[in-house]
Amino acid sequence: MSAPRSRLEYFVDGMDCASCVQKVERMIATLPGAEEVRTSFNKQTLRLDLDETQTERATLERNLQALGYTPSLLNPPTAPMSEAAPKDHAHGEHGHVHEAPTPGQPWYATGQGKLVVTSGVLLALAWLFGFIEPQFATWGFVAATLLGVWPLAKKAVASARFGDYFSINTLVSLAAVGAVLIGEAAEGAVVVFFFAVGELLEGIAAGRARAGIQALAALVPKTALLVEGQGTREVPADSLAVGQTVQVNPGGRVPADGTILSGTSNLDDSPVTGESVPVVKSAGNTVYAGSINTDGVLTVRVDKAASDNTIARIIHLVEEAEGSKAPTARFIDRFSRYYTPGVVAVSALVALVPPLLFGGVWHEWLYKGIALLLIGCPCALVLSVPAAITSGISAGTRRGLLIKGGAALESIGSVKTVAFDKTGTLTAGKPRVTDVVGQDRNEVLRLAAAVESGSSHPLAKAITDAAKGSHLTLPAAENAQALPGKAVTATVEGRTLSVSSPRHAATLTTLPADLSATIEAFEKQGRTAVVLLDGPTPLGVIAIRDEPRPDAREAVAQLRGLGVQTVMLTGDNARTGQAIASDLGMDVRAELLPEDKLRLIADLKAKGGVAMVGDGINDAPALAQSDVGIAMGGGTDVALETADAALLRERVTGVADLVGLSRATMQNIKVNIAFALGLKAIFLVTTLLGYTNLWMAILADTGATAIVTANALRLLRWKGSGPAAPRTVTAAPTPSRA
Amino acid sequence: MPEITLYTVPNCADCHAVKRLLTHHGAAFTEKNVRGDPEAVAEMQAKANVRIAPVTLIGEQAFYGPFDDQRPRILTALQGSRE
Repeated sequence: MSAPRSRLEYFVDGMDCASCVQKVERMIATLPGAEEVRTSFNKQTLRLDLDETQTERATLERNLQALGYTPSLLNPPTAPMSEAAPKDHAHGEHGHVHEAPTPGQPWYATGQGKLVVTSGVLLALAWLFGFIEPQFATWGFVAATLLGVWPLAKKAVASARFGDYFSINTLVSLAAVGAVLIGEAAEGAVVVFFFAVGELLEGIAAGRARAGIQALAALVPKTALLVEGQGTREVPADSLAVGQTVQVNPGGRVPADGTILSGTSNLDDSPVTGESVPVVKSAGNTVYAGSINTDGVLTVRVDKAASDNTIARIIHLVEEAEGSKAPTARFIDRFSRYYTPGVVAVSALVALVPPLLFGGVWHEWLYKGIALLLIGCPCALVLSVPAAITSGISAGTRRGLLIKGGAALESIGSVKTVAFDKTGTLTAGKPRVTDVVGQDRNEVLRLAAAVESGSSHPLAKAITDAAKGSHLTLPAAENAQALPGKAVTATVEGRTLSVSSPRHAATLTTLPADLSATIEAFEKQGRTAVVLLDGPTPLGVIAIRDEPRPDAREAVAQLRGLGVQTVMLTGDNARTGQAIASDLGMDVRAELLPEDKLRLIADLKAKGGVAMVGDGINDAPALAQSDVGIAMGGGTDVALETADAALLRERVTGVADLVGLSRATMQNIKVNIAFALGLKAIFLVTTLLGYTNLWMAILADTGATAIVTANALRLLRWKGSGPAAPRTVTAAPTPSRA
Repeated sequence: MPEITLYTVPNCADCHAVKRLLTHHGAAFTEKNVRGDPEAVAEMQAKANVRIAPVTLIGEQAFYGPFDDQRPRILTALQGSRE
């Protein structure tokens, strides 16, 4: 016999964001007797069929109000009809096309490479002609200079049009053209040649860093086994559409991001998370394209098209990140803005003042002026920073630390405080029952689990899991009702039972002193206690604990070792928060509402930089408020999008690694800047004094460029604290080069 | 570049995510907080026939729903407008 049901439709005031809708849907899912639940984005309404013998309408309305929403009934309840307006979830359009990663060209095939080769050959020919027919030699040098200057002059004109009149390109172009005009074409040719070499080196460095990342794309298989009817058919992985089903055999690689429909297996997620230890996954779990299926046969529903899978998105994000400038890079830009015109002005003075005012020899002073221009050229300085940033970002990505941009990479290392969200970040977010106190342990657990059986709350799940673990048979529960944050009640075996928070229980009945003491003791140990009541009589207490992640303690210690303060932010009760925090050796701010978190982050920000680490889904505002938002989340969309950095392997120690990587990168950049500027200063003085000649200054600058580029590439070998995932696949198209 | 308007409410993860996505792609947009602003709600409803944030309006196209649903469409729209 079917129960009497009524169709209810509410306008829900306050349910005005997508996450609010999800919150409401999750709450409704815990109510027995609620079916056909539809929320409408268009009308801000909630429609459901409710069996009011199981859950009263008043309970539903109270629960909505407890979440902060005001429901108003739109229609007189009617009997349900069969049609239902489906929510628009069409996923057909997938326009996000990523450029296919270009396989590494040999360096001489790139535009810059061709330029270097051509001007190098011209230079060599001109030099040879110098022995045979000197007047041809001069024309050769002039040709080599003009060829090399042409692209630089074009860039100089382009930046001048945007108001940047004194770019490095302007400087080199002026110097080279000047050298030709005063009849020193050979030096002009050499300068532009070496400048081109420097740019080529920087390009190669960036290419090498990128090749490492793009090798990830090669880990996604080219073909997939599409399940059709009873059999399978091999199709190109690119052609998979969302919603199709594929089979992944043992030893094979997952062809697309998706959800396991059937089968259980160990999956090596190292391409996405950098984590080389296989993870057991079964039906309902998500899998990533590129993961290796080590044992069982899996059928997987495709959730994302090839162009949009997690690896493709990570590659895309990293490529964009490399393009964004770190504050240091911007500082170099600013520095160049004053430095370069300064060099031009001083050169002009040196070239013009002595001949005009003191009767100096024109050629001699023009030569000196141009020499100054050439020596002043901050090539090494300008090229070193992007190379270091690119290398740093790539090194991180290969270890599961995704950093979205130079600015983030730079600021992580300088934060004074790291604030951690508790649940899901420091803890695994999977609470477990640790203790059951009462006359009969199993009886307490059996009844409490029966009451909680309809709920999907993490605490309820902990209790039902514990009952399952003790092989208890659960009796049926009727009239289950939930008071969010307070209690769940139900009728079990004719008794009105409730599983309640201690504070809520205290309002219903007087708890015996020994029970109160037990509860307090549990909370001091960082556990959450719930009381099982039979009417007003307490039957027992269940303690539940969300265990800290195994490496949380180590992460906090590592951060302290790096001189970074740590603080835990939690909405949990103060005793529980305090217990877990002191266990991990960190500060705590407990009983926080979301807006309290934002305020605290703002306070910490005022006291020096703050990084916020959260699990990415519900912490987005706090992540955005902090100087650097770090999301803990193996490739979820919201985490990848909102945070400045994401820890793809869910390890807390990744935060310390990020700080370490950032500091290593900044150190590298500082060394490069000091080296480049120092060398410049030495040769400027010695050349003007006549101890070294212009050629040596030019060679020194080129040498410095090569050295700082090589130094930046060292970052690619950065190890961090954790073991890097072994890269078993060598399909990486690495550019062949010297 | 078409005009982009983003309707949001405070403390909404999906709204933040859309904001970051647009900023990340260098798309200039106007943000309107619709909470407690009946005029903005009415405007959002007139343009997208939706009352729940985030709503992203790119030219004539309107997108709504959770971030995961909106993301591919927003990217398509941004890409289309660049060509």
